[in-house]
Amino acid sequence: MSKTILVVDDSASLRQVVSISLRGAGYEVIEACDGKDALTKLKGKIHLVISDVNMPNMDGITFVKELKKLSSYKFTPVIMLTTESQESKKAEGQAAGAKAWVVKPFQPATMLAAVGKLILP
Amino acid sequence: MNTNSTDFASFSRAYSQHFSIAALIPVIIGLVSAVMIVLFSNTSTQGLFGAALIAILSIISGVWCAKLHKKMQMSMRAFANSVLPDEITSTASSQVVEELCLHTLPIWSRQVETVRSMTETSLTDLTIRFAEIVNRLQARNDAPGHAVGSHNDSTDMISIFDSAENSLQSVVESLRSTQDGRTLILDHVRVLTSYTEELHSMSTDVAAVAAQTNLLALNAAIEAARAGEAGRGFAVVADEVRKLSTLSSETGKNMSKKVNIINEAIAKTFEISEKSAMEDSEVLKRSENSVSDVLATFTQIVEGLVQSTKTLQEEGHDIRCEIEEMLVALQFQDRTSQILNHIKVNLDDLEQVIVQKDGVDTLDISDWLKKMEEGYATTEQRRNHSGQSNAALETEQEITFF
Repeated sequence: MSKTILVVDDSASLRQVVSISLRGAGYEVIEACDGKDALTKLKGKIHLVISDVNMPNMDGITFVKELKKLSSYKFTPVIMLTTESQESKKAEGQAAGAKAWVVKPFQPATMLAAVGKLILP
Repeated sequence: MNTNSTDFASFSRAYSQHFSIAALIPVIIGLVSAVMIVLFSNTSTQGLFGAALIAILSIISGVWCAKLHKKMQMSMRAFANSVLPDEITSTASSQVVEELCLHTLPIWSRQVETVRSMTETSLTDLTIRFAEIVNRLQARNDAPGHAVGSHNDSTDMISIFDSAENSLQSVVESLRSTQDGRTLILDHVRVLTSYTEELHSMSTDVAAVAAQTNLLALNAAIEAARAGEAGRGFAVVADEVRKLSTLSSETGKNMSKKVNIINEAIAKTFEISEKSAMEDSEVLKRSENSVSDVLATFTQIVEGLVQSTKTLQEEGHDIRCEIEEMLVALQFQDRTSQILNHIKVNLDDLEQVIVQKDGVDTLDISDWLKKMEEGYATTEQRRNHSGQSNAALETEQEITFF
């Protein structure tokens, strides 16, 4: 059974790029357009979350904080995928509970390497 | 320019206020004088008339001063407009700029939003289409018999071709074994020919024995005749023996004839068979060559097909990789969208400041710039803010694990 990854990004094109890479590598993908939408799509086993930082309605950092409050997804690893490269923002992400910080534009291979390293068994 | 404008506005306000007070001074002096006259002099008709006159004169001089002040203010403004056109510092000009901003800012905001949404819509559509191509190429390569490198289709074709080749070879082998059988028959026929020669010799022997017997019978008949009556019986026997020898001689001749006929027939058969065998051998040779040529042609076609399939698969794979790279390049849309969105938000905020009463006067520019900077999400925005060039900015490719 293939593993499921939740992709959260307000840019539809970015979601497509991420989804193609992940589906190509054999993962199941669930897409959400912001943090609020992502919280409604948390169903069943999710092995990893990839989230943008700057999004409308609910930003990525807040979403990760909310995710970590849920007992079922407390240990789900999160990769932040963002245009932000400032150390202060990274620190915020780390404090919220993210496991990795990938700066856009990204190479699919880089992201897949991070996914392979962090995804739940 | 904003600073100059503010300075001039405050100066103008202060000047107007002071001059208005100055204009009231003669009126106040006049009124005080009139009151003093009324209080400290006899309230005669002349005194009251004088006081009223002074009060009227004071009011007239006050009105005159006010008019003069207005005239001076206008001429000063005209002077400022004509002499210092680059430093328009009047309140009216500031109001015009505010008015202009109030009208233009929402327009700019909408234009920026239109550009952002157009780019986003087009690029999302483009990305989805490219993604569809990538998925189709991926699906084609993943489909059974189409995996890159396995060439299952080609392998199937080669195995079918091999089987066809084996079948054709077995047909040729059958032809060859038939020919071998025919050669065996010919060998037997050749042996048979040697037997017919023996038969011919035997029939000659029979003819010779018959002739010899006939001669003996003749001699016996002579001897019987010489014996007279006593040899009559023997003469009959000798005659019968002679008849038998004649019959044997005829049989021997007939046998010889038949053997000759058989011999000729066998020779003819042998000749025909040999000719036929030679023809068959030629046919076999031609068949082998034809089969070999056909197989060679098919091999060439199959190899060509295998190569074409391989090339197509490789091309498909390369195209998929190229499109994936293009999809990576299309990620710029996310950055441009964020930058444009930030500009739009700033324009909207500025509009709100202008709409608010005294918003511009209380605006803290350094605080505004700081808030702008805090809202940036990309390195390009920060570099632009500080006036640095983005030309040499390398695309960041980094991953940080916590």
